Order: sequence, then structure tokens, then C-alpha cells
Amino acid sequence: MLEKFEQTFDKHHEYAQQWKARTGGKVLGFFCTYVPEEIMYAANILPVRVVGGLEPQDVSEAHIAGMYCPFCRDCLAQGLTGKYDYLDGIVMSKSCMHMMQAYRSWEMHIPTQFHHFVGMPALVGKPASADFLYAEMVAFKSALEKWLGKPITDADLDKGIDIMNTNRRLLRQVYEARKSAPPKVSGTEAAAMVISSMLADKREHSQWLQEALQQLPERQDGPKAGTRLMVLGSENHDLRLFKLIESLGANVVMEEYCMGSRYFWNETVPQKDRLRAITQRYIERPRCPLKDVDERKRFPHILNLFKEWKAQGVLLIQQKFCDPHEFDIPAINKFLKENGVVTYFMELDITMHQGSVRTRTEAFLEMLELEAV
Amino acid sequence: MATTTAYRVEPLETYRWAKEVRLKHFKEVMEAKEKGRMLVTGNMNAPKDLISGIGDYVYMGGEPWAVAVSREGGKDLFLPALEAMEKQGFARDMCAFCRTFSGAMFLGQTPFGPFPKPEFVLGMNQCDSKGKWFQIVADHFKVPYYLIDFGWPNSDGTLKPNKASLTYLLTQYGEFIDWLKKTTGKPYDESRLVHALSNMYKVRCLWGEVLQMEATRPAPLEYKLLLPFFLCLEYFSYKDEVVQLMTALRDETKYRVANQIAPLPNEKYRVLHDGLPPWYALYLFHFLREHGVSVVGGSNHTMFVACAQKPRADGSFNLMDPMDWDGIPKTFDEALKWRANVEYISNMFGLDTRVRLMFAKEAYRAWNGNGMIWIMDRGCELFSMGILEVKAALQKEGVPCMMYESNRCDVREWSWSQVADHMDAFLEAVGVPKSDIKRHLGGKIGEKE
Ligand code: SF4
Ligand code: SF4
Repeated sequence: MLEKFEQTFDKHHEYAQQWKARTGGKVLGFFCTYVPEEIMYAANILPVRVVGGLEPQDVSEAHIAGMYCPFCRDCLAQGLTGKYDYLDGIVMSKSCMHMMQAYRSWEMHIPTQFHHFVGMPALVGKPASADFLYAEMVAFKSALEKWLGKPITDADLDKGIDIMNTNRRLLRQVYEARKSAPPKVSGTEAAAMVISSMLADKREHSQWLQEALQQLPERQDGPKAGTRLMVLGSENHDLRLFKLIESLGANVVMEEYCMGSRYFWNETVPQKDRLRAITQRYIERPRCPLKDVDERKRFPHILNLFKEWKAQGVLLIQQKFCDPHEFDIPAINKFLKENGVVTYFMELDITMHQGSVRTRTEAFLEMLELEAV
Repeated sequence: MATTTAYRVEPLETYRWAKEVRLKHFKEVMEAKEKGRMLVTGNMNAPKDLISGIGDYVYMGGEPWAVAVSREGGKDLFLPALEAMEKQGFARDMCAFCRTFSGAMFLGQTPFGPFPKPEFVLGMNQCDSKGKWFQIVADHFKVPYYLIDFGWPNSDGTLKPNKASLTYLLTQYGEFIDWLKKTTGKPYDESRLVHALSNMYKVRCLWGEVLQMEATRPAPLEYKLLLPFFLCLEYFSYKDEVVQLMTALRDETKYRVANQIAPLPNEKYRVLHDGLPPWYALYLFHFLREHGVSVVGGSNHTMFVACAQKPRADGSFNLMDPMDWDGIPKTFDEALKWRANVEYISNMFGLDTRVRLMFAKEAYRAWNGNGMIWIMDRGCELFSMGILEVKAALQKEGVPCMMYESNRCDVREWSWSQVADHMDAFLEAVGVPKSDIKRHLGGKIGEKE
């Protein structure tokens, strides 16, 4: 059952195309996890996260400057080379400037019926921010209604909220199963589950999760106990990285980034005004570095996860040229060290040499063993 | 088309004044503590003018101080400053303004004396770096941090205002004023704010007039001459002295136009320079001048003319439409509303590639350019955002284009020989004869004007 998630990830373009053929529905690509998928599900749209192909490319060179991160360049390359031709449109919410550039270039060069930008405030702790985001949610809903030619009702929004919340709840249950030693689910499997949830129809995905959760207690082929690691930093959807780390005797038991726990951690709490409820969910979700610009709420959240999942060390991964994390990592490193947490920094690039990851991870694991002595 | 005529060349009198304003500011910051003045730091485009309601203060802007570290500080300060940031674990590819300023802060040094401790930090969150940069500063000094967020609204690629975004800005201005009163314990005099913002308005009207005169031939001024004024516009435009300075500049520019006085005797070609320059290597503009190339404008023009304009209700604009002098804000509400509008327009220029392209095309046309130069600033994602797209679109329309890679603050990423090679090829495309090429001007890192 667990293979289903990785297979879906490997074949996500085929999946979306088949979904389209099967349902006759529309598919929208989104570039940032602050895009409210609830509203798209309410409109019977399949939201799929735009991800890179994890291979060196050169088609983005003419559009995105060399000092932008490899991830945003890779994402644009997928669009420029036609991998996402089945999309009916694209949606962005304010994230980093790197991803913004990928979105703008996509908008300029790849024809789609629909494109929309959701202005996500950076300061999420103030009432004015929620009001601004609410207005942006209203605008997004109206734009979809105009495009589709029909209203999105409260009942539709309830459906969208329910689809998202169910999936989030199930993913939280999977993460609970990573608390045990050895964990019931490996880091690679958990990552495949989260990433595939951004690509597959969440109704179907939730059924797969339910089946997987039923099988977990009896599972015999689960991971062996190893050094428990938490991974945090820039986005990463390269399962090879987790496979390699876990092949060296580690268990990745928790992550804090937008392709991991941050994506599904909190639910939309119902309110009479559905868009208010959705707004609140995005305001309150665990913050990305760019939304953690005032009182640094990310740090205690990270430490809580570390403790609760009984991790032994933290691997700080940073996509090359990723400014948001470049700003946060030194301060997180300091904070974690002050709290007695052993950390190790690793810079990532899709063209990265596997050998160097192996050597560096081995060094870190040795370091943790020495700490334990 | 390119023409050759000998024009009268005279120095710009007000240039010295603008430079004095800058130097006086550095002194004010250094002396703030001993004179008992309130010192605030933050990024240059934070709404520091809002502080004027509580009385006297000195605002230390991160960007001009970063430039001072890389220019006035010399090798003995800027290199250790950059290295100090790296020692803290910050990456070399992050915003170079942030690294230079914060590095000097970690060293506790400025080119003019010890790095002063601010009473609080006020930031404006626009690019990815500004909010995070001043978080580092506030953490270091353990002082309160107030950040105002732009919000990046959805737009239709024009300058049509987004109501939610304007409300967002206005609400935050109001909240900041309340916070200010509470934090400093001082009363807030609204008329002082109205005065500060009406100054800002006047300065923008004057700036718009000056830049529009740059379209005449010969251009009365050039990009390099405009740089200290641009600093005054962005940094001190709420001050009475800057209104006087800009009035003098406008009058002197008028005089130069009437008498065909130019910064170079033989303006043969005119180009626009998009992006802020490598501050430590302004000799590259001398290099162009020696070839009869007048750099009549650039992003400072396209961007800051935008702040000196009133876009039409449909979001379109004409760079030659000046701001309406009758619109000077007279009440507190009017002043804040106007300020939010300016903030909105100036941000949309950089944040939406479609708007950026519209401006570049329009500026090129309005200022009768013969070519366009961009700096691909490796130390600033915001200014580099979308420029490859803009350049490609202009190239498609037959505009000779050139882009040089550099870093406007991190001197280690400057290679004059490479830039000069690039310039040679570009000048040839613009029509400048090859034999004119002279390279003796550049060379020494940190060389001043
Ligand atoms: S890796 Fe960093 S810079 Fe790149 S898209 Fe993600 S958050 Fe932005
Ligand atoms: S605009 Fe550029 S230079 Fe200025 S703070 Fe942002 S990244 Fe740094």
C-alpha cells in the first residue's frame, strides 16, 4: 500500500491527465502552499503543486537569473518544456521572490486560460493582515467564479474545507506513527505521502491514507531503529535524499518545511463565514521564514516538534541560493544549539553529487553517536 | 538618431549641495546620542516620515549606510564587514546591502565611528530581504522592531490601485502611530506629519519636472549627477531642506535646458541604465561619458517618476504627465492616503514584471533612448527580478541592450575588465566607433568619483 504514494509522485503528470479525462474537471497548478486549495476543491478543480523534474536543465536561463534558487528554475523548466501542458491555469500566492519570478515567467510564456495571484501578507500576526488576506480570498473566489461561469456556494466551500481537513487529519495520524522507535513509517515514505497529497485528488489520497493507517499496526517490513533525525530548511521533494540518509542507518522522524509537516499541520476551523475560516487557517499555520518576520514563532514550534518526536539531531538543509532560509538558518542554528540540540548544515542543489551527501550525512551520524556516548 | 553637436558644459551647482546633505546626515547619525536625539534605524523606504509626528528624530537607513561602508569605509571596513556576516553563518549570496550593513553592525563600526545603537527599528517589508534583515538588527541590539508589510496584492499588470492593499497599508500606518506613542511616551502632533508629507509631495512634483526635462537634447543632467538627489528623494524628502534643494535643482535644470548646457559636450548617444549602480565603481559612467554617451535615466527614473505621477483610473500612465501640484495633502487623512498610494505604486514597479516592462518601454520611448543597460545585481533579487524578461522583450523590439553582472555592494563580485568588454560590444551595437574606446578610467576597487 505504501508504494502507492511514491508511484503517484513518480507518475504525477499521468495521474493528473487521467484525472482530467476521467472527471472532465479542470486542473490548476499552484506554486506555493499558501494557495488556498479549499476554494479550488470547492469549485471541483484539482489543485496540483508545480514541482521540478530534479534534473539539470538550461531552458530557464533566459528567464531567471543565475542567483535564483535551482528549485524555481527547475519548476519553470517543467512548464517551458511542456510537462504541464495539461494545466488549465496557474495560481500563486505571495511566497519568495524566486518562486514569484517562476510564476511571472510562466504567466508570460506559457498560455493558460486562467492565472491568479493571491496576495498573502508577510506579517501574519496582526488583525489588519487577516483582513487583507480575507479580501484576497474573496477576490480569488470571484475570479474562479467568473472563469467557471458559476457561483461557489457555502455548501461547496464546506465540501472543499472537509476534503482538505480530512487529508490533513490523516497525515497527522501518519506522523503520529513516526513517534515510536523504530518508527512505523520511514521518512522517505512519509515524504512520499505528503508530496503525493499535493498532486493527487485528496479524496482518493485520503482513502489510500486510511488503508495505509489500517495496515500500520501489523506492519512487519517497517524501518529498523536508527539515529532519529529531524530535517528542516528549504523545500525538498527529492526522495533520493531521504533514501540515502535512511540507508545510512538513520530514521528521519520529522521535518519542518513546506513539503512536509508545515503543509498540513493545522486545519480550517469552521466559522459562519467560510472564507474567514479559510483565511484564519492560513494565518495560523506554521510559518515559513518569510512569514516569520516579527516575533519568530517558528523557533519554538520547531523545538516542540524535535522534542515530541524524540529526535536526536537536526539536519538543516538549504537549497542553494534560497534567501528565506539563508536568513533563518543561522538564527535557528544558534537557537537549537542553545537548547542543547546538535545540528548539521547541508546545502542542496538538484545537480548535487550523491557522494558528498553520503559523506556529510555519515559525518553527522558519527557526530551524534559521539554525543550519545 | 545619434547626433554630434558641441554643447556648453558647466558643473551642476546644486550637486554639491546634495552631497552636503548626505554628509550632514552621516554626522547627524553619529552625533545623535550625544545630542540626545532619538535614533531609529530601518530600511530606506520604510515610512520613517510617520515618526515626524512625535518630534525630532534621526533615521539611519540601511541602504545608504551600506553604501557608505563599501565606499567611504574602504577595504579595511567593507571586507571585514562582509566576512563578519559569513562568520555568523550567513550565505554570501544574500542581499549585499544587508550583509554590508549588518556586517558593520556586528563589527560595531561605521566609516565615521562606532556603530550606534538605535532606540527602535522600523522596517518596510517589500522584498524578501528587508523584513528579515532588520529582524537581525533588532535581535542584535535587543530593541523593539516594528515592521510594516506591503502585502503583494493581486494586480492586473497595470497601476490600478488595489483597494485591499491600500487599506492594509493605511491600517498599519495608524497602528504604527499608536505603537509609536505608546513606545516613546510622546504625544503625536498630526500637523507635523501633514507638513512632512506635504514636503514629500512637493519633492516628488519637483523631481518629476526635473526628470521630464531629461528628454530634451542635450540632456541637461545625467544619471550619475542625479544619484545624490535620488538619495535625498528616497531618504529625506520629508525635510524642508530637501524641498529647497529640489526647487534649486529644478530651477537650475530649467536654466540648463534654456541655455543648452549639458554634462558632456558631445552627446552623441543616449542610454538608460536600469538598476542601482555598483557604488564603488561609478567611474563606469565616466567611461560612457568619454564615448559621448549620455546616461539620461534608468530605473531611478522609471521608478521614481512613477512616484511623482498620478496614474489614470484605468491603471495606465504617461511618464510625461507630471504630478498635480494642487494635490498637496492638507489634512492628516489626505496625507496618509497619499502616502499609501505612493507606496503602492513604487512597489508595483519592482514586484510585477508586467508593470516593470511597461515602464521600461515607456521610459525608453519618452527619453528617446538609443540603448538600454541593466545591471544584473547578484546581491539583490528584487532589482534583478524580471529584468531578463524585460530585456528580451525590448530586444525583440530592436532596442540595443546590454546587461552586466555585478553586485552593487559586494566589491568582491566586481570585475571591471569583464564589464568593460561587455560595454565595448554594446557601444558598437549602439553605433559608437570602436576607436573611441578608453579604459584608463576604471580599475581601482573602491575608487571614489
Ligand atoms: S527553495 Fe527557497 S528560494 Fe527556492 S522557491 Fe523555495 S523558498 Fe523560494
Ligand atoms: S531591494 Fe534588494 S538590496 Fe534592497 S533590501 Fe531588498 S534584496 Fe536587499
